[in-house]
Amino acid sequence: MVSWNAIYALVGPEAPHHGLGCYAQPYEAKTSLDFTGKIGTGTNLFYALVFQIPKWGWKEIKVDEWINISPVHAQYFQLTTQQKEQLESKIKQGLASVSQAVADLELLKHDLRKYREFINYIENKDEASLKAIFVDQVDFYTGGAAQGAGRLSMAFMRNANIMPTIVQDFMSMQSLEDLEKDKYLSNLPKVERDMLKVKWKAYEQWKHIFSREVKERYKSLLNLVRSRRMSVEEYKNWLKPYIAKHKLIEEGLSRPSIRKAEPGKYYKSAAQAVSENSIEIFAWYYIDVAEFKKTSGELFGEKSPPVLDEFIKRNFIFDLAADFPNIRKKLRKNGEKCLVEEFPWITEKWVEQKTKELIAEGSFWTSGKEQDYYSVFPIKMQRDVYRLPDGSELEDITFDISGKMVSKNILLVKLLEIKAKHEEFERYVNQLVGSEKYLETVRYIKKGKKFVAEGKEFETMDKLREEYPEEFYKLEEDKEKKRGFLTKITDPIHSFFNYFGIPLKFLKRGPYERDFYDRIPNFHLMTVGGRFNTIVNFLQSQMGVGH
Amino acid sequence: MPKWDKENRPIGYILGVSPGFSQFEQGENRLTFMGLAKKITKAARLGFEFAMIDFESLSEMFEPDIKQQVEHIKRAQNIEVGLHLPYRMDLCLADAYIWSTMQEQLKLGTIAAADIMKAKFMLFHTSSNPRPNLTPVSGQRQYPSKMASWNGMNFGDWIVKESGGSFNFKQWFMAKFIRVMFSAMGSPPDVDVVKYFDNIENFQKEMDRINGIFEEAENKIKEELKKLAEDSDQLEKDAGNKEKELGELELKRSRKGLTSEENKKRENLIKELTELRRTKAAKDRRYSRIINNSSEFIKEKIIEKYGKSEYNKIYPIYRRITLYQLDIPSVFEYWREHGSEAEEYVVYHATAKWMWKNKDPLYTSIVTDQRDPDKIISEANTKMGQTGSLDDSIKEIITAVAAKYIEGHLKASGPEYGIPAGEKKFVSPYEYAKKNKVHIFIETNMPSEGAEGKLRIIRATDHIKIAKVLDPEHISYCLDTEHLTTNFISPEEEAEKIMKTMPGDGKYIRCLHVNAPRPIPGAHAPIALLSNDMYILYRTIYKLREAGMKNTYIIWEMGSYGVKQSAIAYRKIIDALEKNIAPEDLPPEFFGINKNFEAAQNIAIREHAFDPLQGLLAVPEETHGFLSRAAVEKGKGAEWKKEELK
Repeated sequence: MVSWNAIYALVGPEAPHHGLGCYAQPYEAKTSLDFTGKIGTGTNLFYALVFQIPKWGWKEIKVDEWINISPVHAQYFQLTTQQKEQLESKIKQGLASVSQAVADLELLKHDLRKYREFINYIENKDEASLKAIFVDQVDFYTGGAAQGAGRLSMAFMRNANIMPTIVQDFMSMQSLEDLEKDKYLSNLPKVERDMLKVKWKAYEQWKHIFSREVKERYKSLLNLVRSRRMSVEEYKNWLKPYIAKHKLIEEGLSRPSIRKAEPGKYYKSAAQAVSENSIEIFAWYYIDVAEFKKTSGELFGEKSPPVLDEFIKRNFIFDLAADFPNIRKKLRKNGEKCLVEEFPWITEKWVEQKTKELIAEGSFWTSGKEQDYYSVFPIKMQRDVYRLPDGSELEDITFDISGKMVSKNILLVKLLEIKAKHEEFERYVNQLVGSEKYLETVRYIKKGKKFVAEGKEFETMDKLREEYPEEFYKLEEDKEKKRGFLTKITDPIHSFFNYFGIPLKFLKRGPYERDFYDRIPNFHLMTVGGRFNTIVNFLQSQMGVGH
Repeated sequence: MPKWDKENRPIGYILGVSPGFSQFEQGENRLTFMGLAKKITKAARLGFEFAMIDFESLSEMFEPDIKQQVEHIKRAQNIEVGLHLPYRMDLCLADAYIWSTMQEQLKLGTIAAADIMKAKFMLFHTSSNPRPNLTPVSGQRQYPSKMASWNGMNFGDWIVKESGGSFNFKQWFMAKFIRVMFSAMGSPPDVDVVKYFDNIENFQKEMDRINGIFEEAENKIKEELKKLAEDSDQLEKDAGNKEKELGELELKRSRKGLTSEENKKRENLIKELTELRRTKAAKDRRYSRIINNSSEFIKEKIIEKYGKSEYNKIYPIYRRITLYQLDIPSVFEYWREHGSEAEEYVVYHATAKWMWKNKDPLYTSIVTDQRDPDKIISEANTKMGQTGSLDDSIKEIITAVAAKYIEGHLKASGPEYGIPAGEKKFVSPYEYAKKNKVHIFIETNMPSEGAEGKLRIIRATDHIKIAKVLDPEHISYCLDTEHLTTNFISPEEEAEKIMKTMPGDGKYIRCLHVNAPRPIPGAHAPIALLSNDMYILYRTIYKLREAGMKNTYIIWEMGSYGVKQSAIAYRKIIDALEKNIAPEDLPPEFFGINKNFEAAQNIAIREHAFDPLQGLLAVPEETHGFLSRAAVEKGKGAEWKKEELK
């Protein structure tokens, strides 16, 4: 999770202002609204808000949810936790079926591979392999024996040292004629030549039978594999909703932070019927700042900067504050992580792909128009229901709302994070159903001749592979990034100004606003504040405040 | 069915087996097959048509009722037998004790073959021990022992007995082996004497010659002494007369003086008397010198006549034997009377000399170099390592003598060596076997470790020669391919040699012991039909057939590895031999590559064509065929299996 703290440290008001990104969180645009009422009133508030936001034209998406139901609260418990348990049971059954189907498929695929191997021998006229198979697995039984090679087999003749070279001689034969014409083979003892004649004919006969049969069986097996593969997919598709449902009913106590906080909750008692439901909504909407392009044109002309830039890649997505070593140190100390650290399977390609999707024309995510600045509103709603001993029920809902301004690249970081989270959900479901394409990704760095993954050093790639087998892990290499002060971004600029002899210190870098205190509060945050008030007013109005 | 002629010799090829020794059986089988009769039962069940039974111990013939047991089993199993006498029997040894022991074995073996087993043949190995050291490299060092002649006599007695003709064997022996005489006295041999007589044919004759030379010289000396004595006497006498005459003159001179004429006479007398005395003294001195140093004068005389060299040669002999009165003939008698102790090579050498002198057919047929064996042996000794042909000659000489010893054993009769044949009548084993139509086979033995190629009689050619000399109608050679090869002789080369040098004589090979060609002593390996061994064996036997071997036992000697396909293999070989198929034209069927083989091959394909697909995980391939789960589930797996390849 790329936290707002990390974003603040790099592109907030206190950060070095290079115009590479922008984030502002006015103190005024942060509040917590707590409302208690009869049962259903909190829920009404929640739905009123989440249905209102789109009406304003904003975008919103749920980013998190968990529940925590006391078993004492029997009715609600049944509605939630018990339902989850039923789902679990269905999932288990389903998983067993999927697992069996997958296993069957894998077995069939194994068999198919085996047949394919033989088909390859036959099609490639790999006589050496076919002869070896014939000697070891077919002719071996000639002359019959309960154990060991048959007494009329070439293997027996070789093993019993009666004709020590017969297998080798057979392998070197290309045709029956060799026994008469080949310099070496024609000088073999007569008995061996006579025997090789019979063996060669038998080999040809076997090859014919075997080839024909293997080809036919291969076709049948292929159809079987296709059919089984479809059934596996069907099983999985059938199971996915159950898993999704189950996953969506996430118990708060499964999270360490909530578990830790649980004993200290003064309003909760194990003897009371209390339920908690936490939902986090992320809403955003662009800010149109008329003067923006005048300043940004210094570097990039009139063109809007690309949403996915090197800055966020290096400092938020693939690494954390790579260009700011001192800040990085502090962030690391606080346990901050970059996006890839949270979702190791993320690749450059994925980031590019998702960015394209996000900014595509008509995309839900961009509000239909790509702008350079956005107001964003993480809204966390904590809804608690209390059933009192007299049978009455209370509902308490608390909205933690903050209004922030971010440049579009920072928004992208957050949206990518949401996308990743959703995909993680899909991955979770797929992993659970055993879909092969979702292997766990382990990222590694090549350091000299060594490989480093998850803090451990490996001497060779093989040893790394030993630790993370191909069947279970996908290894993704991280090119070691050169960390330093904006080297990559500023180098071409540096060169440009050097040409004209202009010292770099006068340069205002980056496509986004650098004059934070001159412009941000006056232009950008005005809009944020307005929208923040809209939400707060809406909720207060719904709660009847002031009526 | 096997056939024999009226002398019990095989007609055509008779396929036989030797069941081997019961002591090599494992566990209870050692008891199951112990004894002559029980070995026949084992042999009868191995798939052959004739059995050769091995004596493990002569005591086997003393098993109670063995004769009845054998007769019963032979009748029940409808099988005829041959008898292999104890495998370490060696009839070529001259040690008197061993000779008599071997004769005992031969006698008992012959009785067992003729009376107990009613055998078609009896077989024994010709030689089991290395050659005696006739030369440094021809054999091993041997101990002195009391020796027997080839026919079992005291060796010295035999020498005396054979000394009556033109060749005085005893005198030759005393000269040639005077060292043995010294040994008999317990004294170290005199080098000069031994060396001198090494090349002498007749001891006494030579001694007479030497003594004659010395006598001649002595006589001459004696004559001179006599003359000197006579001369001295005469001079003394003459001097006495002169002194008397001078005394008379001196008396007259003192009394009345002498006339001038008398004075002159007196002076002449004094002169003459002086001369006489001087002459006499000279004669006396020579006489004394001769008397005091007669040997020098004898030497002078001998040298004067025979030269110094001859004197130097004969004088030591004369001195050691004549002067010291060494009576070699008496020593010989002493030696003979005390058992004729010597090393075996002495006996072999002497016998060879005797055989050569007597033109013994064994010697003349076996030994290529017909020069005096003394010369051959001497040359072989002095030119050791320089020429191979001499070594070969020595081997032949030993073979001839060894053969003579076999002859001696076979033909020895009398109460001690013979087999009782009626009241106070004893016949030789040979006669006994012949009378009972028991054919005699002689066979090259398997060498003990280190004695490979060192046995006294090895080659097939020599054995055939021996059989031909002794009695080709009743004695034949049994060629053992394994025993020949372990003695460094190729059976095939022997066959070629027979064809080249003794055309047709292969017919005297009336028995063939043949195993898989494994040149390790005692391998006795079974034959695999489908093997190059078959070809090798056939080629060998075919060559022997070309050499004349057409009526013969072909006997496989079973070892510890079982019979396996051996009987079938030999039947194939005999079948091809009878069709006279050349080795290169042998059909695949000869090796068992026939319809049955092809059928087995087809079955292997039918049953196992799809074995390579074993290890399939989902498809139950091997147990009930591809995609046949439904059939199996319906309980029709077996039916599916039957139909799967159709």
